[in-house]
Amino acid sequence: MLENYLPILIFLSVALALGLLMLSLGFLFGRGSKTEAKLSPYECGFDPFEDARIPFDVRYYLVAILFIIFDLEIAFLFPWAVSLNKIGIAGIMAMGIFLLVLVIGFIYEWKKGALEWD
Amino acid sequence: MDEFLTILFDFLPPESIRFVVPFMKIIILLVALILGAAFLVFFERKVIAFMHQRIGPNRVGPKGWFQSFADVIKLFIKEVIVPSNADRFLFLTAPLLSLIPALAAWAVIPLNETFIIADIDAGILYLLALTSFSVYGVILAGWASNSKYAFLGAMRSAAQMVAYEIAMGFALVGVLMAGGSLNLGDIVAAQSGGILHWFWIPLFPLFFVYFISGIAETNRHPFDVAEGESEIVAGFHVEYSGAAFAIFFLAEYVNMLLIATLTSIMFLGGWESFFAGSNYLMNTSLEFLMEPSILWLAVKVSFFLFTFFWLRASFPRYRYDQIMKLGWKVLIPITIIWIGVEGVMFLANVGPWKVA
Amino acid sequence: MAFIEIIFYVFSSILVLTSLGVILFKNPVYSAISLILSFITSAALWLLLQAEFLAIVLILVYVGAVMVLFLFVVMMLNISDVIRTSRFNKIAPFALFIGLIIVGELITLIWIRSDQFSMTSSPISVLDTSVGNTTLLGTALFTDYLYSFEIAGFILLLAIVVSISLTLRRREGLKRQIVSEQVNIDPTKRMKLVDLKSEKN
Repeated sequence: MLENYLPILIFLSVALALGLLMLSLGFLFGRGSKTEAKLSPYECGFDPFEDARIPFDVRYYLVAILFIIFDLEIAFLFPWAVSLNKIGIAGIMAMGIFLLVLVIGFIYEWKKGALEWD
Repeated sequence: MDEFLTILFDFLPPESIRFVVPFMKIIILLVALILGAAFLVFFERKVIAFMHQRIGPNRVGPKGWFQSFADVIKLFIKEVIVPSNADRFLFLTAPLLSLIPALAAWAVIPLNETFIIADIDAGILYLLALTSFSVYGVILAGWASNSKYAFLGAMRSAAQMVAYEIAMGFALVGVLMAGGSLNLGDIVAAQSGGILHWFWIPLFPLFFVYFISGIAETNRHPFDVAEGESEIVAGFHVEYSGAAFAIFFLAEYVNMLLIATLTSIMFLGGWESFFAGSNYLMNTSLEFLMEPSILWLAVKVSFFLFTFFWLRASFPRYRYDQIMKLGWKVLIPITIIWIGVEGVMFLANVGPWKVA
Repeated sequence: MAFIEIIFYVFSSILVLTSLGVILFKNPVYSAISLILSFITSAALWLLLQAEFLAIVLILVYVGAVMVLFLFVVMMLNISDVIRTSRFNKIAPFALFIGLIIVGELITLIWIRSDQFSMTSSPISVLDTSVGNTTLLGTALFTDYLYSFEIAGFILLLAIVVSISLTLRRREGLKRQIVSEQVNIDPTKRMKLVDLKSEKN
């Protein structure tokens, strides 16, 4: 099994090398002068007067948390889907209950308005 | 392929064969991908031009075929600007973080029965993990640039990719239930026998959901709020120029190729022929059409790529709240319901599902 | 197999270095990225132990989801303020204390366990490698550990409810789009046809 992952390791290294090669080619051939206006962040002609890294809406955190929960759900579904033939009807019923519980949670989210963007 | 390469590198010490053979296959695939991405750009411009009733690029090479190469040369001789307020290290790492997962995902994609770089059991799981990793390129690019437009674009795209990844994951679960394996080669094998045996019929809603979330994942039109040139200029890569921008660009097009290939493999039978198992072609001069071949895969992939551009030319950009609504309130419920339907079909022994 | 040992030592050293990076970098974004890298290297180490499914799920869940949330939080901090504060603050002695407890626990655990199992024998031989790792895990999870699996489902439900009640703040006074109302509108009530008499000269 491990033998099959060796090409992936090689692939990751080759991809990294390709990216680094492209970047260094850019630095090698790219000519230009560095002026203050060129190096300042783009902002429609104004001088940037504050740090761009500003606090933002808490809604983004909620989306990220909900994403973690659903991602875990998917992580449970994957082994279930490939072992369907072995676990039989009991396994399908078990996943039915599990999904039902999560669908209740999903309906709760929906009704509470956690999925609205406004 | 493997045997050929093994014979070709016979002069090397035997221990090094297991490094050299995959390495050469990777190089072949990478060259194909980069050329594919280059012609994809040209294809996109020609398709859009055709839909706008224009000519499109027609100056470089015969009928403009070498346009992309001119663009690449132009990008590489442009200056790579690192803004003065930016975090220099992360600013230059971010493009690499979007390119590496886009390329490395191809390691588990089979292109015909024999050509695959890493034939692992958990192929689809690996793909989902790499897709989820690609969000970092966008987030870090937006944060490291220290520009308001870049930051806004990064945040938008992070929340969007996250929402569509769930729909994508659920759609993959449906494919797994039908295919019974995480290995993409096995999934194609489960679809053998003509157009009516492919998963797009029993899994039609998932096919639809998967392709739409694939478009959203790659930040393409009409879900391109991460770039949204009329709203936030160019979004997360507004500060990038020259080669650093070229890397983002390459990653985006390689990702499009990936989504198109995966959709073909999982729902349209991959390299299987449209006519496999047909009684009309049997024993005629057209029998060769029933053979599985990489060319069939190419036809299917080209169709999906064309659809990418077709959608781009046809639809206006979604408003951000509508994107989130489509992801959470339409696509995810459809996939959950269809997984339930598949479970019932499995119990009732209908469709491609068999109780062993 | 010597090559696997080399891989093991390379990944272990990266893991140690990135873990140190998590606590030593002054910039919290760099710390978060070190944490991501250490998750990836741990996944590689799990892979060396043949735990294929767990390794990829570690990347899928922790790198793909949990760390996105961490980065969201960390990016919102005012970086320049955070950097100006000293590297180790008042909590450091307490954190050190907790750390020592964990180290003690680990040592005890290994001590006890080493009597029961010989550490050198590999658990791989026990597994049936003809079917995939994921299938094996699925079969075990949905037969022998069914009860724990359902409990996990309820914990996830709890997590949904708690996270919503903690973070959901609906702003008042916003005009929201209600699609059903828009679609179900009666056009005759929206439009009035009026006959205007033409002006006479």
